[in-house]
Amino acid sequence: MNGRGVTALVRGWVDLYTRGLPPPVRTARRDEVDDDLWCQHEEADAVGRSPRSLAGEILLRLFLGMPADLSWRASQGRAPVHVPERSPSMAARVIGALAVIGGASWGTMIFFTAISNPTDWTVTTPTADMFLIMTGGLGLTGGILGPAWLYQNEIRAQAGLAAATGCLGTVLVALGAYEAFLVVPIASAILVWEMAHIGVLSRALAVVHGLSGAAFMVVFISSQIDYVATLSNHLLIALGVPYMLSWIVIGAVFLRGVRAAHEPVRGG
Amino acid sequence: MRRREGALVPLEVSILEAAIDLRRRGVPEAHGFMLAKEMREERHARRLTAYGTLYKALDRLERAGLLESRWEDPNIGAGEGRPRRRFYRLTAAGEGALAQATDEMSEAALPRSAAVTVT
Repeated sequence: MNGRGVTALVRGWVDLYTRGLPPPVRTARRDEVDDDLWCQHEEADAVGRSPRSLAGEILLRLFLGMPADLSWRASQGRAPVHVPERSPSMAARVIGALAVIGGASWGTMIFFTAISNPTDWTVTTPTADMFLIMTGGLGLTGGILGPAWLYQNEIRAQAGLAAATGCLGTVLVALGAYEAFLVVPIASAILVWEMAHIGVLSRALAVVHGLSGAAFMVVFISSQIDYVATLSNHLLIALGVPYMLSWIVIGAVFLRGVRAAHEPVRGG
Repeated sequence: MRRREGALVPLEVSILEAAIDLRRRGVPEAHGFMLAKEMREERHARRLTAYGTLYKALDRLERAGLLESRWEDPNIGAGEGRPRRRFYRLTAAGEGALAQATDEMSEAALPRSAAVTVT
């Protein structure tokens, strides 16, 4: 390898171990080593040193200094991660409240069904039952549609489609077409994953939401096969509760404050 | 081996000594390569200090307040067709630390010399 090759190697190494550092620190180290290399080449030219000998010394200086480079890098720590400012805007508060209402309403319904073991979904009275279905439907419609609307400039098309489908499902459930609930956990899982992808919600929450949605689907499909057997199985019914709890947590996150949505880029 | 808090390692002592020697010769501030070259000559070594070792030590000395640095005007480097340059200057604290380190090294060497004299 000639002098130019080993110089590129040193530069590559500096680029590698300074990766992730604040730009001024990174540039300072790179420039300093660059100047050193330049001086070394100048000195070699002045004394008529062979390129091979120079390349050997550069390589030696590089390899022998690597442990110190790594130790220096470790002492620098990571570059400060840019944490976007989170504030509970009015839109986020409304979305959060709706998600909490939706999760709490349908969660209450499932919970009471699990502990009272009735032969149908009626919790106490038909009026209370209707109230919970309606508020749950309204709440989760907002909980699904709201984030998609708020971050419409950032989410991918499939997430938008999932939100529209999920929203349709919750509306149909509220109107009495309970079979439509089948699409809700799938749609919400896609949307919540997208919210995690764009940094609005945590990935852990998206995973929990997706898994609890899958558990809820087990209950739902089971109920479609054997309605009474499913309702009499407390454990099976209880599987539906975590999904609603995850909606309450999502609502709480929005109520606490999420990052502001990015403005759309306007063309010139 | 773990270093003693605030203690200078031999390389750091060499850097400070090189900075003092250069200053005595009318070079009040020096860049990394110049210091490395000075150390090589002082120690009659065959090669220059490794990049990582040298710049880590310079960073530590500067953080400790024993050296101070400044970046030269980038136009100067550009005019000479070379990268911009960082110059290090020995501080009063650096001079003091070097004097102390030299004293400690002499004291550490003294009993051994005495022992040699006695035997």
